[in-house]
Amino acid sequence: MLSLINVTKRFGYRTVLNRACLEIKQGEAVGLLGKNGSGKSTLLRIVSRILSYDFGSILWNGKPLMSSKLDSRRFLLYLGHEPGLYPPLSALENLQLVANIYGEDSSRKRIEKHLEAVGVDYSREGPIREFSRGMLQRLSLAKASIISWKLLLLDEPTTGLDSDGIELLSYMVESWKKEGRSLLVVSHDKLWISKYMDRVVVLENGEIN
Amino acid sequence: MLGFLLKKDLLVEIRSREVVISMIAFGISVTLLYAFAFRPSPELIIVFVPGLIWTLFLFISTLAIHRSHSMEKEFDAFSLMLSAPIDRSTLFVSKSLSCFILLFISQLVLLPIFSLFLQIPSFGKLSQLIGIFFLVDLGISFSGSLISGAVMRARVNEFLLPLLLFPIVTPLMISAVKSTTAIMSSAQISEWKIWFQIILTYDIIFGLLGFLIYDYVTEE
Repeated sequence: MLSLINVTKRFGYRTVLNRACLEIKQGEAVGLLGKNGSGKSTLLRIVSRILSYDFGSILWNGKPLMSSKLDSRRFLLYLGHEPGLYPPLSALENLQLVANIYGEDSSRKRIEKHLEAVGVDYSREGPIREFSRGMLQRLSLAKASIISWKLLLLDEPTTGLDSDGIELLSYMVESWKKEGRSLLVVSHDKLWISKYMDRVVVLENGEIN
Repeated sequence: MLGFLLKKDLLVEIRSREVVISMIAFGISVTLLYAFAFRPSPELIIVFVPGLIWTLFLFISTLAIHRSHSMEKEFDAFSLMLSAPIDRSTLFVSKSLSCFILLFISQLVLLPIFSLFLQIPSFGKLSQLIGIFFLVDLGISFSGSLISGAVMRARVNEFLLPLLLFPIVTPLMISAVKSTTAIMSSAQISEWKIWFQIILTYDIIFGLLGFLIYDYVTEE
């Protein structure tokens, strides 16, 4: 279970998160809504330890998330607004790298199977720089499917996806929930969020309601 | 893990071919400029060639250092590295090593060209010269990777990197020039031992410093 207790983050004089509190149980999918600039992405980046925070604590199963750095990051996957992959490398090379750094099986056969499942043409050896926004989002989904995470942090997952892509994402979210995995999803798509998330919270004036 | 990260950095360079080609192209242009600007005697050339060589290699090294972190900003690839279960000290070592390899490769290409165009009679003991190049490149890579990691998210990072790097590498560069001059003049090691010791100390300080604080400097 993830617990955020009084997490505060300031950028200069601007307080983006003001004693924000949130709990996510095992197998729970929580949607996070909020206006542009309300700090939704900042919150995800703080939990994934890309960003530091000024005050408060983040716990995973009652233990500080940041205490044992490597172990705490092994079960956590952050899929940001950008794909978080290397543009000059191919889809296969990128996913093999991800699998290697997470200590997962990086065999070509396994990666190709996952690429095929999300509809990315793995026979294309070209750099992902040439991919469309939708294809990059599908590649991010493939990234999520090759890692054994327990908590997935998703930032605007529906952006750039066509109707088939959104259907695929919805199917994957449902199956992850069935497997008892937790999700924290940031999106502007209120309809999609309310349909697929177990609970929706709103980030407003730095506080989570 | 270090192997995967190093392989990734080198693979990105092999695929994009952006850094080494720019380093070599810039190096050749400056070498030609030097060659046509100066026509010194063989005795005189030994005195100021080390300065020219290290000025050139300092400039080309900034290309490799800057690119090693700026490529991480495209598609926010660095977020993968920061959120993944990777010790950030390992990230620092892989960044430094990849930068070192790129710098060393470009030196291997540029040094014979430099020697040919400036008609350098002798480089002295080659093993000593390679040793000094190895240590100085390591020092540039360590300090460069640390500073580049710290400024990578700044809006004017292209401007900040040389502004911070050049003063920090000045002692290293002075020692590199003095050591190279001594080696080219076939001086005894005892005569230039102090410069070698400064280079070694610089490498140890920045290697350890980067290893210890890279975690903090890269976190937003």
